[in-house]
Amino acid sequence: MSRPPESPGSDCTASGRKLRYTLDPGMGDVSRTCVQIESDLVAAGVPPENAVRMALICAEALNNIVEHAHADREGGWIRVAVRTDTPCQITFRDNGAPITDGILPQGRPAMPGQSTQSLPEGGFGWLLIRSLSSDLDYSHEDGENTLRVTLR
Amino acid sequence: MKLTASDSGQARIIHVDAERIDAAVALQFKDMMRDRSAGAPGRILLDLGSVRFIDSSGLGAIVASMKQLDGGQKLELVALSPIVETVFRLTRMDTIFPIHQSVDDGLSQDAA
Repeated sequence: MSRPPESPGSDCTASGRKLRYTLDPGMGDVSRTCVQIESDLVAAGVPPENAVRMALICAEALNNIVEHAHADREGGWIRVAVRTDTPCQITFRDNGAPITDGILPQGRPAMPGQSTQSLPEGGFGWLLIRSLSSDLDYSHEDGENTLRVTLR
Repeated sequence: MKLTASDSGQARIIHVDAERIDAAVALQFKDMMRDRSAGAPGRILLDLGSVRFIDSSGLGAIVASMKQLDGGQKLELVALSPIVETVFRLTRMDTIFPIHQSVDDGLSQDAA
């Protein structure tokens, strides 16, 4: 198992073609982790346009985990494993609350001509995750959530 | 994150001097936009040329910024990098905001 030369903030280790990260459920860690992931992916040879899309998926999924799974809880952890070969796959694991009814939200786009004041300011996260992925797999078992996203 | 504003004719250009508009800075962005938009007479061109990453929180902050404008003001976007363009396209927010390739393109619409 080799460690990249610098991994500030996030705890990142690399083994084979998987990059692994551990973070605390704080917003500061999410942003920093996503920057690290994008940079590590490019360093691993993933095309930049794919690396940034994977970083976007990470930002959306991690923000959701922090806001919903870990809201008002202590002792939470989040782990991210990123597969760098094809197809690129990201697996998120956390020990927070399960998704309601185990159903992943769809997300909804804006409607052309929609009035300014009626535009939603949130809820686009799952739409983005779904649009950028070809497969989503979610399970909750033994107190842990696992979400696996395959890049489209 | 820094937002710098300058007026050109009847338009105000607000340049976002930051590489990311994400959950960590969304609230700050919205507050700064309220500040920089104040007193703008009409069109506001938000120059995103330096922004290399935006997530749904950042998108939400831009939508919120538009909602906090007064009736005569209009928010338009300039210089979207590939991932920013992707986020606006996938959410269909590209049908809501006028989008220009460059500040010059945006300003040339004023010369009528």
